Amino acid sequence: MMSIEWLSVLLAVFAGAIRASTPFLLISLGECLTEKSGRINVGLEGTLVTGAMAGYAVSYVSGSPWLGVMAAGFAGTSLGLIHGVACSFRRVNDIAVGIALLILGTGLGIFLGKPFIQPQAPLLPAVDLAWWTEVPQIRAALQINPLFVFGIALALAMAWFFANTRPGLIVRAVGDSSAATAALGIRINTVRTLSTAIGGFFAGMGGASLSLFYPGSWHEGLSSGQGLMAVVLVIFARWDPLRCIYAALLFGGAGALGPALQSIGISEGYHLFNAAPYLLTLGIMLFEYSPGRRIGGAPGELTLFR
Amino acid sequence: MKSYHPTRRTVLRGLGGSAVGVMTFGIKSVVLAEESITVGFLAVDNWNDYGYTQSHLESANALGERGDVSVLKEEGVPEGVEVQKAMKSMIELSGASVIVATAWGYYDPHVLEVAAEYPDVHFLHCGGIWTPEQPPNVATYFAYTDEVAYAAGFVAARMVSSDQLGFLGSKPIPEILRFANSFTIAARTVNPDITTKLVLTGEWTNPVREAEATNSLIDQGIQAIGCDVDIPKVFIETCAKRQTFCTGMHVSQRDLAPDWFLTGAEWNWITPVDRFISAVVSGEPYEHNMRGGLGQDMVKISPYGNAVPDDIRQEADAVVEELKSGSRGIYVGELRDNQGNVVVPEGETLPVDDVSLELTEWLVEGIVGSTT
Amino acid sequence: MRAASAVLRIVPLSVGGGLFVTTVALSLSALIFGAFVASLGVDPFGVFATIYKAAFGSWFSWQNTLSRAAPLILAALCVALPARLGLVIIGGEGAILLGGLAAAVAGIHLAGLPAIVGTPALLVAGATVGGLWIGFCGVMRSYRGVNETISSLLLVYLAVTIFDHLVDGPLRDLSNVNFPSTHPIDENFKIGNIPGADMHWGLVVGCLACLAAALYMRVTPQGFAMRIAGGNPRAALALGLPVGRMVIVVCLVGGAAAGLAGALEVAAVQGRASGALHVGYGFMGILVAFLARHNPLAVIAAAILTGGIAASSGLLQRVYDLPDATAIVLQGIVFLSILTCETLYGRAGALFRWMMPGPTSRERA
Repeated sequence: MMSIEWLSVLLAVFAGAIRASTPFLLISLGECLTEKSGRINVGLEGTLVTGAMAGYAVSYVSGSPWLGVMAAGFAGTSLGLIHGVACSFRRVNDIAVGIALLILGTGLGIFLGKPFIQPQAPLLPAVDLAWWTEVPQIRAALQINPLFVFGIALALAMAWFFANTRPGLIVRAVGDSSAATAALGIRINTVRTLSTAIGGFFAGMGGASLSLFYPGSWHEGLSSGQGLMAVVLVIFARWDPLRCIYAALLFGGAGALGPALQSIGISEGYHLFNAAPYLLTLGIMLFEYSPGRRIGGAPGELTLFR
Repeated sequence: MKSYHPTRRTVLRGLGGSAVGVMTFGIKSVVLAEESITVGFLAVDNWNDYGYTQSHLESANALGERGDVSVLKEEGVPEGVEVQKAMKSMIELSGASVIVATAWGYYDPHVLEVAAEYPDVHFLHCGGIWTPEQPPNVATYFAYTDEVAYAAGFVAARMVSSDQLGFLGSKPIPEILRFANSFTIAARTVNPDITTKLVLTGEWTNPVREAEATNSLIDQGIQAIGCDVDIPKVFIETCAKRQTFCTGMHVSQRDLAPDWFLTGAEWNWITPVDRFISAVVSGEPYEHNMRGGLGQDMVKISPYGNAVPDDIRQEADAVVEELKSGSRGIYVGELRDNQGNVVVPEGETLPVDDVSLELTEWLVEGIVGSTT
Repeated sequence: MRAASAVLRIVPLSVGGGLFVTTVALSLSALIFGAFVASLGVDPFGVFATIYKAAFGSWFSWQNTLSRAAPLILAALCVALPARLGLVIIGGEGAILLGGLAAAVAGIHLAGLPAIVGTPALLVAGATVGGLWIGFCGVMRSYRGVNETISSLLLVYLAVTIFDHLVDGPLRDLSNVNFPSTHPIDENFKIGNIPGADMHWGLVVGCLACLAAALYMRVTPQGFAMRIAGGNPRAALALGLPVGRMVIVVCLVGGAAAGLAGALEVAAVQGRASGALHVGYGFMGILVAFLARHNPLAVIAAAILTGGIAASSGLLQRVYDLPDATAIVLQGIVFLSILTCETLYGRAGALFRWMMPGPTSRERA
């Protein structure tokens, strides 16, 4: 019997990794794009809340969850544009603006979301990858969030974009050395503003994945800090979109560990299980870093690492 | 009493508001006729949350219908110096003469300190316990959910074909442990082999963790889950998506999942609040610790969901009547905790208003899980 | 026009420019927020009048504002001090929680001692634990090169976990039935209000700490060294300044400020440690520090502005039936305007000339 229970924990962590990782994946990809261009946006928590609200509201009003996803993306783009334009001015600090936007985004999401707490909006349909099995647990685990599929495709596309395209090269160049790119006649602020705005679009979609798929609901406490983790995830992934997938899956799965262990009766110190992902990240950072050397992959212009 | 309306209009014009009547956010009455009193409600979360705070919104709205009181509301007030200042601001700037503080963290020291400073204002707190050395202008109210939790557990147990139930809680506090205990005790009267798997999220609200916990329980093959978290919306919707029965808490969540929602425990705060306000209005002394359960109309049972067949409804209604009349007890000896210790000896029955239950830290036999 | 530009020249730019830029920023935010509430059909002028009345309109309102500002001042120092060395610490919340918890534990275990010993001991306990917590970020930064922004954020989650685990479990006072908290501290150790005011001494402690930090930065050689290292770490290393040690020290001191904030909350407001300490003072402190451009004295003003907006939330809800998020939206708009208008610093004079074309602009040409 015991082994079946442990199997179920493994399954729960696996399923939880897929279920809970989508917002992590989308915000980390958005943040990755922004940081590659040399800016950092620590306000994605606000984008996530605004996106979740906008997605749910538009889905409810229009009846189409996909319109909701687009609305969430554009809400995120608006916040990203504010960040991008504000930081284009001289002496304006991107970290500080990010924190202001965190507050503004959270406030707007809560304010405008009031009328949408009670109604139930149509949710995104799942992608069913479980045609081959009859086991209910596995069937449930393989009802995949369509935005997760989008996120995987996006990660692949972004990796290819950075490696093989001219605009991808420009973003990376702007992020690594603004002086060199300015000499080439590239408009640095435009590149960075666009990168932040598009990154905001992805983060807004991350919010929609919370409100329109998993957990698939809207109220003010919907996000429990996933957006704050964007910066951590990107460092964890060392600015590599493909590694963002692993980072997101790891954080999603680690979050499922505590509840899964409790559900089979292992509940001593349940608070401590919930800290697992953060401790793990800290441990990896301590292990991988060394003094006086920039971590591999860090864009040279990033204020955080100068 | 409609006599304050002319005053209200005057105030509106005075503040320059135009077309106030048709918009979402309007200026509220601030000046009132002599015979009405102003009651200020404070909450830590947001009013429309489908959970604990909404249960208080319902009582604030019901109180407003009395006619002789004007209700002020303030949400999102942290349990620190902020709530002290918010109470004082309601008193000093908005003329409140009664404060209803709804979050559990407001009582000690915040309500007690402010009450000592304003002896002419009456303070009502949900969840605290008043003792005679505390200010005389303070009263508390709280309700016993044991009976409604029992009813929920009974229905859940009748609806499943297996001998497993689940329970989702937030923190290991007496209120939530009692709820889980009563839920399980009732289920085991239906089928003595039933065990309840308990998951505590450790936070008052954390939607993703609640959804994860619910999914984990369902993956164990559990067919019905009870809950006591602050905002059960995500829990109920997750159960519906996974086609699993669930029971609600705080307010009725039936509309969220009519086919999977069985029934639930609801607070009925208007009973104690109205009693307190009546005493204040008439100038009579009030009860300092108002407690009660089903019999006192302080809690109620949510309407049954579509899935509950008539025979089970009738059985559950009968159980509720027995609980009300006292012919059925919940904590009936011999009752053991899940460590094997006897908590209620053979031949004894602990009534739900027994003081020792307010300090519950044990889990009843049949619950799989621990509180640490 | 001449008079205006003359005034600009006479008043030191840091003050005159600061006031000018802040005025521009606040007007801008008033415009945006006014449009926002007007679009909802609410009279913006009435709203502004209400905000003013609730935040600064009377002595009562001022006390409300200052009480809310008190914890933000110390929380902001946790960001502002390390920022002088170019560090971005965003984990003050963790130090506040654990500092508060340490203070509560000290206050419980030292019960019976005279207040003159107990109260300082409790505050020192909070500051020590907070200092060590953020100091650890400094150590990781100095010895392993671990980015302090990320490590301090991760440590917040760890702090919350440790705090919840202890307060919900081993340290819990079961007699405080449905609200997990520690036992209360000895009543004698409690810090009272400033005489004649409804504000506790934490405000004074915070202001003194800001003053001390400002003096340290300006007057002492160590403060001067810190300013060099913050401006140009390579030059500092070339000069033989112990940058690594300075990083650790500044993190220790910043963390101590946040820990002290937590300890003061316990000693002056809560009387025990509970989840009520976890309300985001640490995160608001980041913003206050950035608003103040990490100047310890400006931190006080920024905290008062932030506290004032928070203080207006209640009256806005009661008079206009607006949700609590109104104050959060206003804070977001104000912060964003102020931070964006930073770009006007040093360019205030130019802007003045641009706004009022006259002899001065010809002079320049």
